[in-house]
Amino acid sequence: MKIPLLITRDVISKNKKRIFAKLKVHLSCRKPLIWDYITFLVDTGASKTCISQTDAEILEIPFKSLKEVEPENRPIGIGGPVDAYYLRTITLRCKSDNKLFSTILKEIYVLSDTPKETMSLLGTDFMDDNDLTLYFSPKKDKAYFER
Amino acid sequence: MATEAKENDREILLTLNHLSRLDSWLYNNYNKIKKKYSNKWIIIKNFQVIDSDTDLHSIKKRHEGDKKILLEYISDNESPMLLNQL
Repeated sequence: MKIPLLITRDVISKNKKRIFAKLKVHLSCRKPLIWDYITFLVDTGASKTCISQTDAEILEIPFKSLKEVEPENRPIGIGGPVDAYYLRTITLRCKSDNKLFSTILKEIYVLSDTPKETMSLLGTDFMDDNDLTLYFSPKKDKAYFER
Repeated sequence: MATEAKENDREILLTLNHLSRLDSWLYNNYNKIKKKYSNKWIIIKNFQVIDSDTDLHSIKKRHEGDKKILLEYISDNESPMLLNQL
């Protein structure tokens, strides 16, 4: 089983470019009600999947109805700990071999007060829970999850 | 119930395919788009930018219900990297 990823190149300057693997996912949740699409940046440095504030606004996630992440469990960014909220029992659906791959994550973070350009991250919890191996070859312009 | 779930899955798969194609188009044309729509929300439909706005709610309202579109924020800044603690 393979889940194809999109390789994107962010050219910042002549000598600086960043290469990412991204995954378009259908996200659904009963409480709060979510039924929408989102793009995640695959991040093996993130232990937990998280939704950026920008994507939370697009998805219209009501922060007030969510439980705040305890200070000791807050995700840490370059500038220090980031305020976050728990979103629980989330179904993620994505394309795999032209079929639909579906999985449930028990808990993810919704970030608040992050810059607009912060991306939502698909963490290692997604890979671990689903026993997935990441293949990433920018040279071959190929990236995918495999099981 | 099962038929409805199957129909949902089919619809999701079709939309994911469509949005992935729009995503690819966006990133293949990202530098050009970034120059023109820096720090704005844009709507992509049929492989072209059809609308832009600085306000998310206004642009969302104008395209409410249209599932064939991609809504993206084009930032002038480098996206910050986030690390997640265990």
